[in-house]
Amino acid sequence: MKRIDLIICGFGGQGVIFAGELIGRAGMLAGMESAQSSAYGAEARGSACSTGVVLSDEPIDYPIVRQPDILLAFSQDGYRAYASLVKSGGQIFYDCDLVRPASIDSIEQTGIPATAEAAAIGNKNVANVVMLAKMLAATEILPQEALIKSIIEQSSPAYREINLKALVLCQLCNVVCHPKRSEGSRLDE
Amino acid sequence: MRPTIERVKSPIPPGNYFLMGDDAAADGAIVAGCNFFAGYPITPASELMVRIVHRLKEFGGEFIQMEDEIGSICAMIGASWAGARAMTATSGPGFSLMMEGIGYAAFTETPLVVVDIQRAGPATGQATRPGSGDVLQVKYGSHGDYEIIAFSPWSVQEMFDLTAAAFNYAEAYRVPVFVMADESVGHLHEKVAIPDTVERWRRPTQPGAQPFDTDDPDGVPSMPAFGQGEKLLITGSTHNGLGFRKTQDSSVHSRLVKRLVQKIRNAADNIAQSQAYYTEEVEILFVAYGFSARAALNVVHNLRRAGVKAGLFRPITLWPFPEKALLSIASQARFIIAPEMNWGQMAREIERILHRPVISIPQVNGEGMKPETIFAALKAQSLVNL
Repeated sequence: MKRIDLIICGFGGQGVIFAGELIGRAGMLAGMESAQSSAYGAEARGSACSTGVVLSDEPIDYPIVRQPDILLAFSQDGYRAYASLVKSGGQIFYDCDLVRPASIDSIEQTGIPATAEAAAIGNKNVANVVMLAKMLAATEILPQEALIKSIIEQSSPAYREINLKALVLCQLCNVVCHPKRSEGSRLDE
Repeated sequence: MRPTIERVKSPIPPGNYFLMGDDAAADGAIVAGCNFFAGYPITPASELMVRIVHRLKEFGGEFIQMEDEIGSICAMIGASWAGARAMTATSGPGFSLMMEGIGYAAFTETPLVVVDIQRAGPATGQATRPGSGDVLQVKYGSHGDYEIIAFSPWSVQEMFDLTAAAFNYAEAYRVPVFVMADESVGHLHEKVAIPDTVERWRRPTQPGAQPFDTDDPDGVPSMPAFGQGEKLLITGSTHNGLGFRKTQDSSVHSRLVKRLVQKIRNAADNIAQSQAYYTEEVEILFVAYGFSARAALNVVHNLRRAGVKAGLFRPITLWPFPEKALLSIASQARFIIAPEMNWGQMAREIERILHRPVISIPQVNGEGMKPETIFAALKAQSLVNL
């Protein structure tokens, strides 16, 4: 059975939960079983939030992610909370302007200037789509077409165009931070 | 009397959708023909209300935000007697407020549907956190003797399916029907397949028949709506077949209460639903419902891979409980384990049904049931050595 567990974390207002919905729906559109769950406080904006997505080619018994294969981190607090849970051999993608990564054994970490790129595209709120596009390009867990369809179906009319624009631009140019790994402290320090 | 059954095209285009549990319940209601919703917003049920506001506008129907949950349930009773297919959605604190109206609906045999997205209680508790603490309240929360029907969805698909079914059972048995979801399922996103056509059952109506008594063995009287030309008296006091108050007549009272109880109990085999997993040969049998059953099934999968004969029995209706199905499966099991997101509410009901000890795994920490919690409890009981 092929099952991929993801966690996306950050603050309310960064589109974290929406990103989870996009990838969960994309999984369904790609013919997989998918489930997405969220954890957030009573405050909608500014409080820590995270979402878990399970993609599987078999029915999903337990739909909550406990140990992700892939982590997308939009905040230092979220990174701190979830990075150590990533499975050995897993991958972490983080917004390199918001997160200072630690060095973790047998985890591949990639810094993405998602918020900065989103601002350059025209709206920093599409940082979530930038991050998803980069992650999909690197991991190929789903076809890009599934994410395109998902964005078309899921986005509000006001965001549909810029979300698609973000996705296409990210596919065309490969902007990746080169993290100053040596500066990062170990996670357990 | 029997309901009339018709098959209609789904008003929502058929196909696969990626929906939140709350939203799927709203869509299930629309597909079932819901055309009246009275409610008061409450976490974690508010999303359902927001969804149905738009859906009723789209497909036709009335939405009214009431001053509170007492108003909501009373408005639904009125709407149902006007012929509407009425529903509301709430959570623990609102559900508690509705209890008086629920008893009134049961006593006046008023079909309605309540979706309870349960959160961690008691009282205001933890508004955004899951729990299953209302599963006894739904049966016993109002005073006096009566019976209801309560479903327990474990997936987003069942949020859709069981909410739609709830309308049919409410109409067929003239009884309040409850969808006892928990926040973990209510806020979960999963695939929902919406079918091309759905069955709609309509309340039995026979001109001139008494609306509150019947000699029919199924115990369900005819239910006319206001405006159909029948004389209608509706009261929460003891009433005879025509609805006249009989508050000093012991025979009318006992006949009425017995019929209200027996119309559901006698039909329990037709109403009760359950599902069994890996129970052909089973030593450790989990009995779990709602989100806890997802965790239990995960544990069953892991135990089976390790060669342990574990299985899961999942009641889909909590009330009436699928007693016969459980009895036939449980007889071969050595251990009965009941994990649930409350302090062991259904475990005692399962003990009553099986007449044997049940190992309860209660969890009241405001979190969804975790497979690890179940494993830890099994190890503590020395039932597994993995």
